[in-house]
Amino acid sequence: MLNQSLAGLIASGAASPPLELRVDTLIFSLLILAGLLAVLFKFAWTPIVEGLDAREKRMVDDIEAARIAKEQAEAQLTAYQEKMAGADGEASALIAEAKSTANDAKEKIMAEAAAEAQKTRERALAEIEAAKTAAVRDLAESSVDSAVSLAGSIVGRSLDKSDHSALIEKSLEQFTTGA
Amino acid sequence: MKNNSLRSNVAPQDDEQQTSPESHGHDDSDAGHADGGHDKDGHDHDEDGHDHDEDGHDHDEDGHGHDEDGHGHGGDMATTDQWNDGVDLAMGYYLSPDSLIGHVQDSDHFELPAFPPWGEGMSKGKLSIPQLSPYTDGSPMMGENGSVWAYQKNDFVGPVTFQPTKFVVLELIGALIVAAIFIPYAKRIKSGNRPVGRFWNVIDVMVCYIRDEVAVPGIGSADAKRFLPFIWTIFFFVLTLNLLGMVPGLGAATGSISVTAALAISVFFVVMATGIKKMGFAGFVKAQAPHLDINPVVKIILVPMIWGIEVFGLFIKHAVLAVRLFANMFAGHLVVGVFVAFIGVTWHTQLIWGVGPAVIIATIAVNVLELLVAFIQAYVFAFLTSLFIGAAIHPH
Repeated sequence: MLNQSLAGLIASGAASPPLELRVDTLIFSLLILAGLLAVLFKFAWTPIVEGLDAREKRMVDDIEAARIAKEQAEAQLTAYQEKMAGADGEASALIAEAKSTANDAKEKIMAEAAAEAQKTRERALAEIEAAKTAAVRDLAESSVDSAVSLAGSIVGRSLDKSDHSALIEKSLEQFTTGA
Repeated sequence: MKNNSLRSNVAPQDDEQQTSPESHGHDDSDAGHADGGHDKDGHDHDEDGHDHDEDGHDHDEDGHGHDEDGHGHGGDMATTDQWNDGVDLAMGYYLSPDSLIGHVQDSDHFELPAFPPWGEGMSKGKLSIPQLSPYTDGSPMMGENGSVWAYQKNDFVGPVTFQPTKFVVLELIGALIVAAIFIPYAKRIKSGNRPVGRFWNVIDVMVCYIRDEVAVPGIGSADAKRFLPFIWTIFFFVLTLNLLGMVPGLGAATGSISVTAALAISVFFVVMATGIKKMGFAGFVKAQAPHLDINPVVKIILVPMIWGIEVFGLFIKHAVLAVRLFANMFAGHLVVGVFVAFIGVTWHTQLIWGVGPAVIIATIAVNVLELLVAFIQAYVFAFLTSLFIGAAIHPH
């Protein structure tokens, strides 16, 4: 009885051997697969394909934009580097120019200072000479006056003004030349 | 022993069910042993060696059946031979092909532990699947207690039984799961946004992998996009069905040749339609034979032979597509069934303390392997589908 029941169970489809090809299950499976494909095609796969394409396009665009940005950055970097190199030369030139200017100024100042010193010295010498001359003159005049006065008293004759001047001049000449 | 083997086809779900209805003592000699009705000492215990229910059937305290002519084992009558007999019978019961396959094959109900709780007898531990139409064709098969529990084929669609089974329900569940995952996923990435979250990233990786590593290499980048929806559907549907098979109480629909045949037939039709659309019917038929630069006389002889082989191969490779998936999934679950059956065999013996942990470890290991197989077989099915479509588009 049990055997019959089990055989009937299998035969009826309540329990089917695994290798039995059940047409109803096969049809159900095909219908389910077709339905799933139809639903997913409309609501999933098509939007997914569009989404993946959009994402890929965005990625390609982003990569292209990144490439362009990189190139621009590299160009800017090169320009900056060139500018920096130029700035270094300019700075060197400025320093050299500054040094040259400073040297020129220094030499000019030194020359001016030397010239001024020379002028001062010459002026001092001139002033000394003038003072010397004036002193000698004063000395000669007073000596002559004394001598004239003395001589006048000795000889009893007064020297007039012209004699007096000639005598002074002669005394000065003698004083400066050898006296 | 033969009875025991056959009885296992209606394998019980628990101790109570192990005795009902088949352990009601209808079989005169070995029914009392078949349910493994022994305690750990290998003995049945009851006061007088026989309990009698209203039907006059023998039961011990655990409900284990005994026949009326003294085949139940009283404690003082136990011998080693009897104990061994019990183990042999249990082994015959749990390890019989019918019992093992019974848990793997398709059926009209789900096997659940003691479900529904109010069920009795054959309905205990079973969640029956509502049928589309009453079974009025042919005489019903009668259960042992007089109830109708098996049915003749009906003629809902002509000569074909149109009976929704466990695997059909699982396919529906699988289809709903796939739809429930990919429709929200589509909304998330529709505008080209990247998915956010671990789960959606995993889905995204799989979608892109199938496109880039399965469809494009198999079909070609120019045509792959047209067939992506089909390849994706096939892969994720098969994968979902495979993974559902790992859930206790459900089953692997792909462990049924009927289901895998449907998948293979759908692939076959797509391949045929693609080839015919590309080359026309005559061109597709003609393209089955490769071009040969050989002597015309030899060519006349060889080409028809090669054409025949190629056409035969066209059918064979699609059939193999179905058999491969079915065999892999079925065999894996059968192995798990064998391991678990060892627990049933040794449950009433001291061996259970060694066998039990070993079975648990082995079952976990096999399940891990099955998880891998679930993915691999879905991948193989999708990849071969791509190759077949690619071969139809680019013949020889």
